[in-house]
Amino acid sequence: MITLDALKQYGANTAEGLARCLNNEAFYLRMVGMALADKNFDKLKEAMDAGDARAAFSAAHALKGSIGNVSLTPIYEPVCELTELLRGKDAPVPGAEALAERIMAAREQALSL
Amino acid sequence: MTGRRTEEKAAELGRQSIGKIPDHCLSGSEAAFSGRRLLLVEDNIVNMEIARLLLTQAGFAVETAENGQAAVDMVSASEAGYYHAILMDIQMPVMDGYQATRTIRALDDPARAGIPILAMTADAFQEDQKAAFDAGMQGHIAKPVDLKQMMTALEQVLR
Repeated sequence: MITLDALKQYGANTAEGLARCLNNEAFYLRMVGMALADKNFDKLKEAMDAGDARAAFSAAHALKGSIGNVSLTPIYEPVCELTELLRGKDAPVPGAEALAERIMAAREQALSL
Repeated sequence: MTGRRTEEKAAELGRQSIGKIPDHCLSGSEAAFSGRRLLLVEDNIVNMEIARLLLTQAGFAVETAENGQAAVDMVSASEAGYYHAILMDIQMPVMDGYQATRTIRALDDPARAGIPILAMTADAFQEDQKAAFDAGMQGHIAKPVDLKQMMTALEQVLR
């Protein structure tokens, strides 16, 4: 069971995320769980594996909204970087793979809290 | 106490138990928002639930659609004046927010075709905002949601 303290230690901006959920802790923690289960993580991995920059941008862009809404900073930062790196690109971009790996590792870490 | 007042009281208690919009995010707008009906169009469940919470607590009646086509269908089937505004995600399956906005703007009935539509997007770039305006949207709500900015954008189109 994920807790507010564990999320804080992990590096999430829980004050901001909670405020966005009107300081309803149970609601916020439920949203965090749902954001971590976002199918766009799988879509991002599949797109990176296939070298599909457009699909990878689309998945990263979607994650920027949902992960940003719950203020999971360790995932949100590389997601924003990857979104901007891939914006308007049709072919694989150097550095994208490393960012995608950071995103996946940060998600795994959050899931293990 | 009448049935209607009981319902209102229950709704009020429900709002209090969930959370309250901070006063600094409202500028006397809550009375203007009360009873106004919004169509929230969003395919991501987290974004949908957070926006629904905030909008409901601000006094809006909120209905939802998961993609642009569903939104077009709901607006087309509604009575004129039923929805006071639409909050529209851009990147969605089946039909995206730009296409849905253009389709609503092309409806025969001027009341439904003219419903205020605000884009909800993680893009803050000028070209993206221009694309939203070109499609017929009146404004922009950022993702992640900034509560004050969301309320200000709604106030502007609902005044």
